[in-house]
Amino acid sequence: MESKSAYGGAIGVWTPMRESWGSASAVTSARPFVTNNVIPAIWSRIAPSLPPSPLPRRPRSALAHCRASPASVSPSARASPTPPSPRSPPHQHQQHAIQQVQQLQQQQKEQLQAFWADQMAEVEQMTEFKLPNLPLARIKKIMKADEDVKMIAGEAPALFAKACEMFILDMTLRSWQHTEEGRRRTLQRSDVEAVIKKTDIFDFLVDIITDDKMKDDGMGSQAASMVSPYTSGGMGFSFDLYPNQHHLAYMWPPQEQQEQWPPQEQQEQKQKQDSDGGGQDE
Amino acid sequence: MAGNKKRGGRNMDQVKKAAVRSDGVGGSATNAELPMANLVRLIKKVLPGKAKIGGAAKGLTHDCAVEFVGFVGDEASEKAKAEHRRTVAPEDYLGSFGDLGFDRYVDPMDAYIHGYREFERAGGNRRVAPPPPAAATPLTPGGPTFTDAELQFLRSVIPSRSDDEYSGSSPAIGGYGYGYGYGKNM
Repeated sequence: MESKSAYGGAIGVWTPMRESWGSASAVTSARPFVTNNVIPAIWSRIAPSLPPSPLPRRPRSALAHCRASPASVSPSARASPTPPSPRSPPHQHQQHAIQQVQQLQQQQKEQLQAFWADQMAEVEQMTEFKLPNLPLARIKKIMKADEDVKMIAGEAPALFAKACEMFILDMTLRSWQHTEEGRRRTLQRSDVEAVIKKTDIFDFLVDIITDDKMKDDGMGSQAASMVSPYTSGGMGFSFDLYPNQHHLAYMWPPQEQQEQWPPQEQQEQKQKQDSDGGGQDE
Repeated sequence: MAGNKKRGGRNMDQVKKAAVRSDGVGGSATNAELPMANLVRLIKKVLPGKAKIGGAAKGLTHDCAVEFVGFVGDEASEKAKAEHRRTVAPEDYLGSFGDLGFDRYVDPMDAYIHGYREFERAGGNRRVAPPPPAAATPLTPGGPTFTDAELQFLRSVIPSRSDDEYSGSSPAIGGYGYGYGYGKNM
């Protein structure tokens, strides 16, 4: 008869526990038998969240790591959650999330270190310096864009071709890490922008993002009109404009030339460029 | 104070590069500062096979690379000027990488310069009749990066030691000739 009344009591308390977690905890402190019944409910809440979390992330991370270096990815050891009391599950779940973030950061750091080790090994084993991945003539043209640079050593373009290559690879690797954090497989402009913002050595690139955003908002219309002479030159106009373009590289264009390029034409060109840019997605 | 002045200089470069970027967005390789095909090939070297690259991401990476060359180049030029030298040496660039925070670049680039000089000393210099380039290289398994015409153009444009020839000529004529030859090859 005593056990029967206890069973009835459990049924009576069950509903409040489902409605309020805190209330259930308060009630269980008074009745040990009810505490035993609460364990299955806790378990059922935690169990569904375990399977999906590691599956989508591990393959992509492993693939990226394999491309960075041949070393295999160290398997992550996750302790199976066994809640001894109803108060520990939230704390343990939080710790679990923190461990995941730390593991991700550690993996990213290892990827970058492996990348630089590969670069050093590649340079030491290099035997063909005449076939760089980037054309030396264009590197030299960029270096010569600054009037202050009078003379450049013959080895400098080759040196910069290699440095520029490493810069592109470094930035792309970091951007891809950001793409993986979002569980996507398409490297987007926002990934590159995020890397520029959070990496100290890329501070000098912040202006590029700001300029683009100003243009997108339409606040840069005046600046765009000022830039029109260069754009026209780049569009392949006759060479008669070439000396003027060289001259304009160091001073603002005179009023007369500004009038030759109406803003309406500029807007049309801008729209065309935007549409072309959108179509380049793979 | 010096930083502010330099910052102003960068703004001027920004305006100039903005025009180039506008042309680049259109997808025209002729107007781009760096060829997009080479850039995309490099980007795909560090990405898994399934990865895709958005067009805007390619354009932004290209702009960043051009800015990187100008940024480090300016710093190296300042170094050479401070020591009253008219030629910017590779050591100036190596020092600039360290000063600007690219510490990881210094060791690989130092090894690269040594390898490059040994390569030239061993007969890579065109004055000693350089050997014909290999048909296939480790970097590009599919074949050489440049065609014969492009290689010939590169050799004619880039002198072995310094830019005395280019700097000695008139800027207008030199620029015109450079552009003409460049366009012809493209």
